[in-house]
Amino acid sequence: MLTLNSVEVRYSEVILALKGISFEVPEGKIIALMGGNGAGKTTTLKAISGLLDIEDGDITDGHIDFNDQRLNKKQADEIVRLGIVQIPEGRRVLEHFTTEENLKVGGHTQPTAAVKTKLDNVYQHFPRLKERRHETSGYLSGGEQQMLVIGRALMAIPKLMLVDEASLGLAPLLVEEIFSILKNINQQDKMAILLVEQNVRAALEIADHGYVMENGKIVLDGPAEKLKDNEDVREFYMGLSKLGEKKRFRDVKHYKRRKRWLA
Amino acid sequence: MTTLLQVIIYGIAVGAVYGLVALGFVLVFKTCGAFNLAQGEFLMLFAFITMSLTNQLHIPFYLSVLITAIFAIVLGFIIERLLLRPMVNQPLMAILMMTMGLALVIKSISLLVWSYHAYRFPTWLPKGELQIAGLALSWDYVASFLIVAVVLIAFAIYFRYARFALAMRAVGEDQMVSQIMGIRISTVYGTAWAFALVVAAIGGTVLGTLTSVNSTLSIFGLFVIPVIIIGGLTSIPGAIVGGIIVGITEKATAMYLGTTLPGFANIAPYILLLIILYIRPAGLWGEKVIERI
Repeated sequence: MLTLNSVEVRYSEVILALKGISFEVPEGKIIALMGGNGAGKTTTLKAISGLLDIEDGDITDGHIDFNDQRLNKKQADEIVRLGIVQIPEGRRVLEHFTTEENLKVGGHTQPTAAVKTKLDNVYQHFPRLKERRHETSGYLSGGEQQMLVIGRALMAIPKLMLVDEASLGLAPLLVEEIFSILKNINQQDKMAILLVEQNVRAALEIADHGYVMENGKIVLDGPAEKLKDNEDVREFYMGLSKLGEKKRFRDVKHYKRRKRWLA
Repeated sequence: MTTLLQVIIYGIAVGAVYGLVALGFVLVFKTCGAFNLAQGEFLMLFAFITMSLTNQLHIPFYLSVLITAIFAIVLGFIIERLLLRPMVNQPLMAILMMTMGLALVIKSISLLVWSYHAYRFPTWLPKGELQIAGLALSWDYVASFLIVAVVLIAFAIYFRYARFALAMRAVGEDQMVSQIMGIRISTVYGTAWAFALVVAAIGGTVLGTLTSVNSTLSIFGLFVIPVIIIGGLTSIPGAIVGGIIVGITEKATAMYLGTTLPGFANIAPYILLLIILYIRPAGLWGEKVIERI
C-alpha cells in the first residue's frame, strides 16, 4: 500500500534528517516505527503527508508511493484526499473550537451527508466525546483530546492512518485504552496504521511488523513477535536485561553490550 | 438643528462603514497573518473604478458597482497567487512591507489615472430626510447604514453556518492541523483577500458618496487602524463595535469641537485609541498573548 524507497530528507538544504530509509506498510496491517528522540520518525511522517515545505524541508532523493501514486511532489491536501491522514504528535486539537466543530472540520474533504453519518460513527467509537460534544476542546483532558484527534482523523475516512506518538503524556491505563481502540479500528475497518512510538512495549503489543530507527536510518526490522524477543531491542528500548543477573554498578555505567546493528 | 442623538446616529452610520472595512482587514489578518496596510488604498481605488465606469463609460451605476465587486474578488485571488504565495515562510514583517509597497503602487497608479480631482457619483441615494421619532435624519446616512447592515448580517450568517467558514476559522487557528485535515490553505487565503477587497469596494462606494471620490479617500485606511486595534486585532465583532465607537467619536468631535479645533476630528480616534490601550492593552475584545522571550 505505502512504500518508501531510499527516501532522503534535508532541512534548509543542509541538515540531513533521513538518510535513505525504505519500508512498506501493507494493507490492513499495523506497522510500528520506533526510535528515540531525534531519530527522524516525525520527519518520516511529515514527508509522507507533504508537510515538509512549511519547515523548509525537501525530499532530496528516493520516492514515496501509495497505491501507484507518487507522493513526493503532492500537496498536503491532495494526500489527505488520497486517503492518508496523520494524527500529529502533541494532541493538536483546535483549542477554541468545540469537540463537535473539531470533528466537523476533520470531515472537510467529505460531502455533507457523509459527515453526518461519520460523526455518529465516531461517537459510537468514543462515547466520552459524545458527552462532551459542545465543550471547548482546549478544556478536555489529555486522554479525551487524544480520542478527539483520532476521531477527527477518522472523519476523513482514511485508508492509512499515521499516528505520531499517541502515548505521549498519558497515564498507562489510558495508553492501554487508546491502543486497544487503535487495534479495534484496524480490525473493524481494515485500516492500515503506521504507528510512530517511543513506547516500544505498547507499540509491539498491537503491531504486526516493526522498524527501529536511529539517526535517520532504519537499523532493525522484523515481525513484532521477533522484535519483542530481540535482545538488542530489549536492552536498549525496553529496559529489560537478562533476568536474574546481578547488576554491578560498573556494568551499568559502561554499556557492556554493544549494539549488534550498523548505525 | 442637530442634536446629540443625531450625532450618535450619524456616527453609527459612518462607524458601520468603518466596521465593515475593518472586518475585511481582520479577516485577512486572522486567516493569513498579513497586516494589510493597503486596505485604504483599495477603498480609494475601487471608488475610482466605480466612478469611472459610471461617469465616463456611462454604465448604469448599479452595474458598475457589480462589475467593481467582481473585479475586487478576482483581484483578491490574484494577490494571493502572485504576492502572498511566494512569501509562505517569510516573517510577518516582510509581508507587512509587501502590503506597504502595494499601497504605494496603487496610490501612484490612481494619481496617474485620476489625478487630484474630486469626482461625484450620480445620486443614487434617496435625497432629503427621514422623519422618525421627531428627528430629521438625512437619507444618505440612513441608506448607507442599511446597506452596510445587510452586508454585515449576510457575513455573520455565512460565517456561522457555512462549512467553508469553519475551514477558514481552522486555518486562522492552526495551519498545520488544517492541512492535515485536507484544507487547501491557498484557497482559504484567496477567499479571505477576496472578501477584504469586496468590502473595501462597498466601503469605498459608500464613503465616496458621503464625502467625495478623490485621492484622499485612502485616508480611511488610516482610520481603520484605530478601529481594529480598539476592537482587538483578531476579533470580528470587535471590528464592528470598534468601527461604531470610532465613528461616533469622529462625528461628536467634529460637531462639538469643530469650530474651536478644526480637523481635530481626524486625530480624535487616535487619542481614544491611546486611552483604550492604556486601560485594555489588547483592545476591547482582543486576546492577551503571553510569549516567552
